[in-house]
Amino acid sequence: MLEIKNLNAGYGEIKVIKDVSLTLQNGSVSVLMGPNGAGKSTLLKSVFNITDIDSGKVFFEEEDITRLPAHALLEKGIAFVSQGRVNFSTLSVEDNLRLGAHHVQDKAEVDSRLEQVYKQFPILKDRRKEYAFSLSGGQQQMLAIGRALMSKPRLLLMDEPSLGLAPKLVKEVFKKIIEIRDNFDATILIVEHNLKSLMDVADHGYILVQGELVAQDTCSKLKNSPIMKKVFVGAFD
Amino acid sequence: MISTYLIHIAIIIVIFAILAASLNLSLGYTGMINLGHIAFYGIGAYSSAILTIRHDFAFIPAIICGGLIASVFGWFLTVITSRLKGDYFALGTLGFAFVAYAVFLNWTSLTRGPLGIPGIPRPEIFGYVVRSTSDYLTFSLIVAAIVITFLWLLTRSRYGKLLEATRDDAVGLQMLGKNIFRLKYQSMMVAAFCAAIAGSLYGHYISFIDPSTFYLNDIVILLTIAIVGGLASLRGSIAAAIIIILLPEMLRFVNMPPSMIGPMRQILYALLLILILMFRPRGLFGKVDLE
Repeated sequence: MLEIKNLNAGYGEIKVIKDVSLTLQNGSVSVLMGPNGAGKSTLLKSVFNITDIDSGKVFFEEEDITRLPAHALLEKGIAFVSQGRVNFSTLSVEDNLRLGAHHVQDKAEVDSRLEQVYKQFPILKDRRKEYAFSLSGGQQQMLAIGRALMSKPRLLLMDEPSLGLAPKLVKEVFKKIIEIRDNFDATILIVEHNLKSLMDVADHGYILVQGELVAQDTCSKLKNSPIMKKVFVGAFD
Repeated sequence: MISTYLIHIAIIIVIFAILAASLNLSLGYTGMINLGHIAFYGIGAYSSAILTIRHDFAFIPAIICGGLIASVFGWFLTVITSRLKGDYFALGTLGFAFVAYAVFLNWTSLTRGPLGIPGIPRPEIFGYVVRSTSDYLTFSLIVAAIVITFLWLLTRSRYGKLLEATRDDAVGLQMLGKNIFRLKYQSMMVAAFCAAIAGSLYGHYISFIDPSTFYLNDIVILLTIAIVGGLASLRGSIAAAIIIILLPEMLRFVNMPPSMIGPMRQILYALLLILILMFRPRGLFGKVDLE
């Protein structure tokens, strides 16, 4: 589904990702973990081509997508939910969602996708006429995810969806993520700090330390591994 | 006599309503703090005046050419300021207005410099000359209705939402695969086109233009209208155009030496702006905070 091969990337002179290779299984929820500054977000952004890629390749369904611009990636079925609930604050909830499918010309198709997103997040339908900034933190995160879903992604990249949410809401967002995988038939890659709750629901885990991939396994195996303990207690920091 | 005066005021209000509404497209909807909008107004006025007087253009082609010329400058302004953000962008656009003023003033072979261009003919549309001021009011109302309806439809369309999204979160919109630079220059070009139409309306009404009409004084009036009316609100721009143009007119009926009227106008505008910023930071109908 997604294959990263020997990727080296960063920002200008700063090299962050060092020779990372990984493969995502179709229909899986994978979580990218690691200490602060390990390059988790950078790896995610590199897939979406918003970092400087020095070498290596990214393949999406056997197709080379390294250095494709954002609009091409979106049309291919890759969506990115960035860190910190990016919404268009003075547009209505519905307009925010529609922007996610702005590249789709077929109005009926957009409307049906909208209904699908509303079915996934009923609260957004209740508040569809309200400004995005008036939503609560959890609802804003759902709006950001909902907007990404409007492009009917087959690969959904999420950068810390739990950031700044109450623990109860975090669980709800994670539950939604699993539902999304099933209802929208999407493969999901998440960068997360909030490890415990996500480890229970995700399929695969990848651990990144200082830009290098140090471990990868199924979450059930990783959970009790010594390297996970090191991540938990911050031995890498 | 008094009615002629009122009609004159009404025409100026209509012209400023078009101007402010078009400024709101780039300033309010797209979030580009454009302080140089008056330059497009001037470019429109000069273009259509020169085209009709020296090149025998009919009114409609002249006004459209004026709009197109201003659009080209709108594109140019966005390109040269594309790396500027926030206050620096505002200053850059303000600089553009001063450069335009300097060109109007110094390119004497084209604009006659400080002498201005007199004798701009009244518009002739399909053989009908809009001669009387009351006809001109009707005529400008029709033009304003067309321009503002167009802007209104534009801002409500799918495309309009993209412009608003550019204002709310440009990077977020880039993540959705949209070219925000293109959206910005398109918005600026449309705004410039509409401003140029207002400029032509002004020139063909007053029948005389000189550089001083397109300088700091009118920048202040225009921005006051946009801010008092509220960002991202077309009806706000229209309402504020009425208030801001009428307000200083009242000074005429107060016994005051003429030398004081000018400064009093400025004081009134300043006072109004301060009050708005203190008590109603979104203006009359605005939905976006001033930043």
